[in-house]
Amino acid sequence: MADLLSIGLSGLSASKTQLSITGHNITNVNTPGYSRQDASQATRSPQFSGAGYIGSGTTLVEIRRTYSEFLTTQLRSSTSLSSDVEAYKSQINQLDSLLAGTTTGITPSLQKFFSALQTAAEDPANIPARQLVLAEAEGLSRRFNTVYDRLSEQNSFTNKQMSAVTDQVNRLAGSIGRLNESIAIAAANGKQPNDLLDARDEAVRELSTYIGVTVVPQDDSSFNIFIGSGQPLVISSTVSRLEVLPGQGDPNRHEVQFVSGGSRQTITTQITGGELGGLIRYREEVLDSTMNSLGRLALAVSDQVNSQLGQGLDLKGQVGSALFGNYNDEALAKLRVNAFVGNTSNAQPALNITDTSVLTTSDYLMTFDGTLPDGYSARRLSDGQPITVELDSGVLTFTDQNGRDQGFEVVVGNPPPALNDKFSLQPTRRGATDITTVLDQADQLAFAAPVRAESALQNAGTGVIGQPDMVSGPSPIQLGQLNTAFTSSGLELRANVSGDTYTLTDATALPPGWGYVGADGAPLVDEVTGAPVTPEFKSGNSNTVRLAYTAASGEVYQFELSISGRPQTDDRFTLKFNQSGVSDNRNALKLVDLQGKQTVGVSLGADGKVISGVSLTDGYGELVERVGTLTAQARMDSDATGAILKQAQDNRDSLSAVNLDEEAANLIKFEQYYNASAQIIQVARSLFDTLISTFR
Amino acid sequence: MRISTLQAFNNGVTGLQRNYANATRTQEQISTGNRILTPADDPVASVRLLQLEQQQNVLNQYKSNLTAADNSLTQEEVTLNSVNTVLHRVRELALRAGNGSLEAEDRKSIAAELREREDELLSLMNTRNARGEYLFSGFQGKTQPFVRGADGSYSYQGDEGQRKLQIASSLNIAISDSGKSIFQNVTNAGRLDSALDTSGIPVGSTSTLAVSKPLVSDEVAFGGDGGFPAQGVELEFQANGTYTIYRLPRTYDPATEDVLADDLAMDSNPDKSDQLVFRGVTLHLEGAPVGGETVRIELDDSSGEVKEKQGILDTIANLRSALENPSTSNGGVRDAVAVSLTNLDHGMISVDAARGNIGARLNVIESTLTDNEDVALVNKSVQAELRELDYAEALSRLSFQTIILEAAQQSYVKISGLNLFNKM
Repeated sequence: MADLLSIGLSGLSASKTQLSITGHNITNVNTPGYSRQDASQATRSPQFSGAGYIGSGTTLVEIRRTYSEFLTTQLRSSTSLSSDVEAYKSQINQLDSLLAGTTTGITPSLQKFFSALQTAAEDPANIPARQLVLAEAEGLSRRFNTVYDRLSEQNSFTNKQMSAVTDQVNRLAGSIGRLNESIAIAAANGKQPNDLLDARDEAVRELSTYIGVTVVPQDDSSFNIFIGSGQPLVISSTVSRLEVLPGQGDPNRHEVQFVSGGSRQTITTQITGGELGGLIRYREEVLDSTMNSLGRLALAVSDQVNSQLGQGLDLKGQVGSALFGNYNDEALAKLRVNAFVGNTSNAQPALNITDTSVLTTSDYLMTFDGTLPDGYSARRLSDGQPITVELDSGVLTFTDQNGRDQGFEVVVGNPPPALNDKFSLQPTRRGATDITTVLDQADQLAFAAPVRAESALQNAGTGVIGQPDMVSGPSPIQLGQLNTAFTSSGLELRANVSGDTYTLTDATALPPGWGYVGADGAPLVDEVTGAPVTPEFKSGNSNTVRLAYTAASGEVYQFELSISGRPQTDDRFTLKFNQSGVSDNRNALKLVDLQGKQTVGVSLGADGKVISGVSLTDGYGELVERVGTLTAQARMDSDATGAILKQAQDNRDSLSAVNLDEEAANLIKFEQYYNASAQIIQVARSLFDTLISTFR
Repeated sequence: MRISTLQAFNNGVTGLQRNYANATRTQEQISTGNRILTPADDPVASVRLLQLEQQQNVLNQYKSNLTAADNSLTQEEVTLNSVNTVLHRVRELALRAGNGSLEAEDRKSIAAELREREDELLSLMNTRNARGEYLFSGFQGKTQPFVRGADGSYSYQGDEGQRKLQIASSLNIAISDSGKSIFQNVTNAGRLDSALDTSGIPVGSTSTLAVSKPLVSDEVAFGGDGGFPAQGVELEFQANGTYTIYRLPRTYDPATEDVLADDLAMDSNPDKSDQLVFRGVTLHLEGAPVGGETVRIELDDSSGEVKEKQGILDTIANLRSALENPSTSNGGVRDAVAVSLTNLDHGMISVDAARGNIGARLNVIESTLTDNEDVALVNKSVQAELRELDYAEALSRLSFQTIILEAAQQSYVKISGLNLFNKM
């Protein structure tokens, strides 16, 4: 009877605990990371009697959580992947709409600028049309600046977000460390502290939304957590920190440092997964190259337009002024070189752009490490290719493995770098913000070509001379040199007919500095004697005359013009400085041509001819396409990782999460169980009563 | 499969969100009319669209260039038409002046009208466009091209520049012509001179031979193979009135002398003017030769250089001054009129050639305009194909998505209402 009472009591206690567990489950239905719990029951040790073993009631053996290590790990890794992709996607989506928008992209402004040039070319003396060119140029440089600002904002947002994320990582790492400790203590009695374990799993899951982690469970139930390429973030209860600091090579690009005790390690490039991984990946893959592409485009625009303007004459007959600001201004040139924080010298070299058409969109890392021949070594960061650096009177030139010039040079300056000083070179990064429109006098736009041709009125023959085209020459051209070249009467070419062919003024009789050249610009000389050769032309054909003038200081002006018809001996043709040629639009037409000319990312063959390259608009189109493709890819990735995450979450929830219907059934079940156990006590009582009343 | 309550709710909400996002996106496509909302929707098509848009803009620019070219050329054509009218009138006047029966007074009145026409022509050649730039001064739009000097002769101050405009991707068209090529670069029929030398006639005799100024009346016969010798010819008269034409320079050695024609004879009437047409050159001979006279016909370099070309204005001015001068002989007037008429004809041909050029360019403009419009049309349709939404498809998609969304909402409410606790 006492047995019966104790059996009933064990049932009461078991069912009450079961009810508590059910209540715990119900109330935690919405707790993140909660795994439903249940208790396993077992019979108590039976008592031996003569008849055999008699059961002595029930007991609760263990309270377990329904949990799968595998599913939780899967959920964690897919969470990390998914937040990486989401962070990347949300950044690139902004960029995508920024670049292609009709009001935000570069294309419309570029188009407007060239349209204004076309309009002005129609009537080069028209001041309002010229003003429009200035206004559109201003608009174009502003647009470059604005897009750069937006990209720069994204960069500083990335920096801030990296700090914020790192704070979260540190907070979670701290709580995981504390949980590790509590769990180790709690688990020492051999029982699992279910709720603590859930809390820690949830903390690790949350951590993996911020950064990719590797979890290694230990024997004492604690978790060791590693990030990056194996940096221990949490070892049992010892927690390391992440810190975000301005980058060594570029203070605008923050880097993540792993701080463990007294040691620091930069792990930016090793971080994968989580929001931090996504942000870093976006910066590396998209933001940097977009800024560089845009910068290169801006440099190409200002270089091409300025150079062409420098080869023409303005309304006042002066050499054209630059429309866009000088990108090799000393202050700007120094901004392109970042000395590393740890450098021992105060060297601050300057980077000058020498040829915008061959610039790449990469950054470079230059080290003064004693590499032969001149002590400098450099690496192109986009593909890691080593770059040959040569020093010539304080100026470093850079060529890649194929011997291609990289389009810039570095002026070492004073003080010189110390051994192992490092510099990050960013030729194009700031191009889009450095572009400015500096010209404000519309009449100083050079729309006229510097030289014109005339034939003497009294020529007996029918020779017709075309207007000369300045094929190459310095920019800006020097009026003094042209005046010397043409004198006031011009360069006279006198025809000398012999049979069906004719020559112009003999090469030896040309004024000093002048000579006939071939299509490649090389002087025409006799192969044997080296004496200048006079080219022969065919009467009646359209012939191309190529002449070059070498100024005393070495500048070469090369001209091309056509002569057709049949000149007669002593017919005269004159090349002249284009005095008061206000209605001449030849230079404006050349400016217009720049729109479709291959001027960006040009690769030159051995003969100096353009093999490949893109036009200004196509250069931008390429950028838009690249970003568009990456965005589309990010969207697909996002769909895919989203689906994987959902599946992992479903799998985990299916196993571990609470189902209220189930719990309601359990409530009923355990209530009934409780009632029944109580009935056992009731029976035991009535048995006792019956016995007592027998003795009354 | 066991479904936890959280999962049931989450799935329901995710489903609702997804359906809602789909419907919203379709709605956005419908409201903008665009299939591509950002480049990522279709990167390849986006770049193609960017290129097409640029081409479209360039085509628009070409269109306004074409209009500008058309305006410019039309204005030039109108001016040249006026020039042509004036030249026709001048030619009539020159023909009238050639009438040998005119008195000096009549000539003067013709000269007076010529002066008016000359001024009219000068102002036409110095025509300016609406922006005040000279039409015919080449590159020097602000420089007056034709200027009358102190001696009444005309000089051209412009250059040979021709302004061009781009009207198609690889087509530039000239929208101006220089005054030099139209009005100055006109072949001069009076570029030869004749010199009569009577020193070789028999002593005591008197030669009444007179020669006119030679006129290059046929440029084709004058130039080319077998044309007029570059250094000129000499006519040598014999006593019987016949003459021989030698090539200059002469060697006076029958073995090497180049006789171009011999046994030519003048007619017997000394009062009648004889006309010699030799290799494109027309010469009038009068009077009676006695033998021994020589006439050299050479390029006229009396003014320092040979006037191969003479401007239209100078031609008219020369004729006018010959008519104005009362001391000009009948022969002088005849010569002046003959040279002027030929030069005027050359000038009119030059002006006509320029007009023909303009007409050809206007034709090019017209066909280019059509071409560009065709390309623009194709562009537009490609753009539409790439970018624009198929409304029928989008609307049916929207209604389908709406149905799904509604169904999801209703089923969600129903299922989330199923709960055992409600029954307890």
